[in-house]
Amino acid sequence: MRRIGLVCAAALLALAVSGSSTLVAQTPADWEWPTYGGNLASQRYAPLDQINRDNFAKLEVAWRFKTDALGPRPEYNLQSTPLMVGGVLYSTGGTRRAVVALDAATGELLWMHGLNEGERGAKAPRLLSGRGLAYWSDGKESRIIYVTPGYQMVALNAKTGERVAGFGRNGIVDLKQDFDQAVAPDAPVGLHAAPVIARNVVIIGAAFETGANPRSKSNVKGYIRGFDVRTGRRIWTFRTIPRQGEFGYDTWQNESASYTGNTGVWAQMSIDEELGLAYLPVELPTHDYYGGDRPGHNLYSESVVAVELQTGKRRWHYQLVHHGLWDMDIPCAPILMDITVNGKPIKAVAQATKQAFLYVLNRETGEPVWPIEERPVPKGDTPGEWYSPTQPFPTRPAAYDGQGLTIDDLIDFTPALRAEAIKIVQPYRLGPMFTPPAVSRREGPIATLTMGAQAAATNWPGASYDPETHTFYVMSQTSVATLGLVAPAPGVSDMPYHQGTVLSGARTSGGSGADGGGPAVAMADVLSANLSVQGLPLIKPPYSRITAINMDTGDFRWQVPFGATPDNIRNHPALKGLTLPPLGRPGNNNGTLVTRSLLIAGEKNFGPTPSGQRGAMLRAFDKMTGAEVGAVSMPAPQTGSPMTYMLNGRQYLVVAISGGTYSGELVAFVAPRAATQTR
Amino acid sequence: MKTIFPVVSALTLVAVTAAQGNRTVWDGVYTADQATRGEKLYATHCTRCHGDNALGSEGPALTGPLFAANWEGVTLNDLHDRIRQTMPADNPSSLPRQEVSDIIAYLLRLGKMPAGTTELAGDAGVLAQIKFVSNRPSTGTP
Repeated sequence: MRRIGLVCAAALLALAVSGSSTLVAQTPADWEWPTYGGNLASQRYAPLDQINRDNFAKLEVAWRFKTDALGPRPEYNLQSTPLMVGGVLYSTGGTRRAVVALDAATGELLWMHGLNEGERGAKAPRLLSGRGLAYWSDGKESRIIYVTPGYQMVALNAKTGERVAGFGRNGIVDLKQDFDQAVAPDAPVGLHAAPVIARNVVIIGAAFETGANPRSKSNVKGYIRGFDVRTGRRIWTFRTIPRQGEFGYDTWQNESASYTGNTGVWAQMSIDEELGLAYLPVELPTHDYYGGDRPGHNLYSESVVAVELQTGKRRWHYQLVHHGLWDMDIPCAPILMDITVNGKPIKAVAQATKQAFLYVLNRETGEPVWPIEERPVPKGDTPGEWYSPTQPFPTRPAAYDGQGLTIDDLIDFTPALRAEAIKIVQPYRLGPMFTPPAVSRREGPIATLTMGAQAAATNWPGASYDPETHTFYVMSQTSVATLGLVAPAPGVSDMPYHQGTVLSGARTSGGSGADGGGPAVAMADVLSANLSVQGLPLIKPPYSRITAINMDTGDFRWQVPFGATPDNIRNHPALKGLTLPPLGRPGNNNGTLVTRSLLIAGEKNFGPTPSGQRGAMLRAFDKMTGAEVGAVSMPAPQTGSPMTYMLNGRQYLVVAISGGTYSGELVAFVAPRAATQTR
Repeated sequence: MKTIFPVVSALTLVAVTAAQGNRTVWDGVYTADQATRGEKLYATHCTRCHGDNALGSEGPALTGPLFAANWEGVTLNDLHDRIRQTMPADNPSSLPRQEVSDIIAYLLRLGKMPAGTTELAGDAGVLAQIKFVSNRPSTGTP
């Protein structure tokens, strides 16, 4: 039975990637979720419809699994997307990132593997349970591969949870070794994304401490590596910062490639096994907001890079941002899709971003599917900075969330609120997309304010794609970033600037924000550091939205606000008497799941539920209109991305929830028996 | 004894519930000096992940509408417990109770909740009587 399930899933997986709709029109008896994104194309799609608009609001809990006891203390930010293969659900969980295998029908614990890494784990840059793991099988043997907080790759026997003796050293590969560079044992490099595996190659990225306040312009380089899934032997390394003599080295002036670090891949990667290519979403180089120590375009930072799966050799690259200064990164998995544009079939890759552009490229060649134009952008005035005179602008699809910031974007429920917002932003620099960060000064600008940067629009949960209707779905949040630069406290860094503003106050104990003293606290009383207007968001709603895009034309099918308006906004005294449309819930850029019948996503923060209890809603939408067709209450917000599977004739919907005072939990929903029997 | 206990428990519950509803973060529950101490502690233990002015970085923002929505109606004891048990992320449970309260005082100042004349204590019983409410409660006067 298990074998049949595997074969069935593999066949349908291939069809889902290829875009064929012949077989995916049937609902499989068993459907597995064998990799983080549902398939290696990262589509987060399943051709299932037992859970549908008729029963979504009546979903019942099949089982729950708390992760509290998997580490020394409970965790409150469980971000896992589990896998389901052969009736077993696999997930990371717990504060030390343990791995568990559960009975996928009941949630019963089958085995658990944990590794106490001591200081190595405790001081890691990417803590807690991570976002997931990878499954591999050759038909005889099956393995779970994951990366610990301390940056060790572990191979487990998928049936028993025991470490695989022939893999690395006793089942462990130390990822701080064999890295094509010297890396200290306590170097702050790690990974919280799930590995990806194809053709017996495991691909591993690299993540670092947040890049706003680096201690040095020198850091570990985020090289990407391929390993033999059987032995753990490193097969290849792709250098995301080229060495002298390699393509792209000339985009690092003043030999800055020699010392600059970061430029890793902390987001999920995708694979086209048929083309033999892996797609790498590469992040910024060292320092998210200041690039004076790395003049030039800085390849392959903020680029989608296609490398050969079995050699790591670069096939093509496309840089989305030249010489990044806005912490745009590339935050999520590129989604692979087969589309038809003007009658021509195209194997495409679509990259969602923090800047709310969807970059659509031919995944065989790297050529844009619709023109991407180099356009002039504003130049900044930070001493020592190097600015790219142009940046790439996709002409299609349109941006799906806010970019830049103008007075027109500010809150306008009432003239008084608009007037207050204008007063608040007056000492800041506003402008179009790619307006650079500003050196923070008391006399102004305090900083640049912009949407579409830092934590805006889309982040690590990414998006979904329906291969049957060629529709792309993405949730995004509309938020304002404060891009200010200040001198670091003495002795903290060899860089001239850290992120911060003069409003940071009397920062005498280290870190960023110090500007030589002065009455900063008094100033903070006058100027709002959190940029809210009487506790309301500075900008117009919607605060979060879901956008559906027809990938054959690049047109929006629909766009709707996401999430219930929070109480603190709905009941705000300044809005009394106003009839408000749905505003969406601030901060929501959660992962979506698309099935044959529904688009599904949960709220990311607490708020009102219909029962009046504190919690969050898991919502279902009509795929063609965006109309909500059902919702179910959860005791805490969605913090992982939902996944689904079919097992023994029942569709399960599993989501990781946590937050506030509610510790991490996996919750599995099913349709009531009566509902499933009627189908 | 067994028959008395539930009655006593129920009465205690009613009393505690009534007390919990009495104070909010808008009632001057910390002092300005305490918030200044909290700011320094925040810089040492929290900035790395939660960013300047608690605006968020690798960790979530600890001020603003999103933070407010997540903690609306929750007691400061629950917030204190969460911080104390899990933070700083690289050395959880290492901060004394009073220092956690000092950091909360700083966060309340960032949220523009007013300072008062009495410091926010580290005592669970006191913290459990103060609710986080993001909007200033109406005074009932025009």
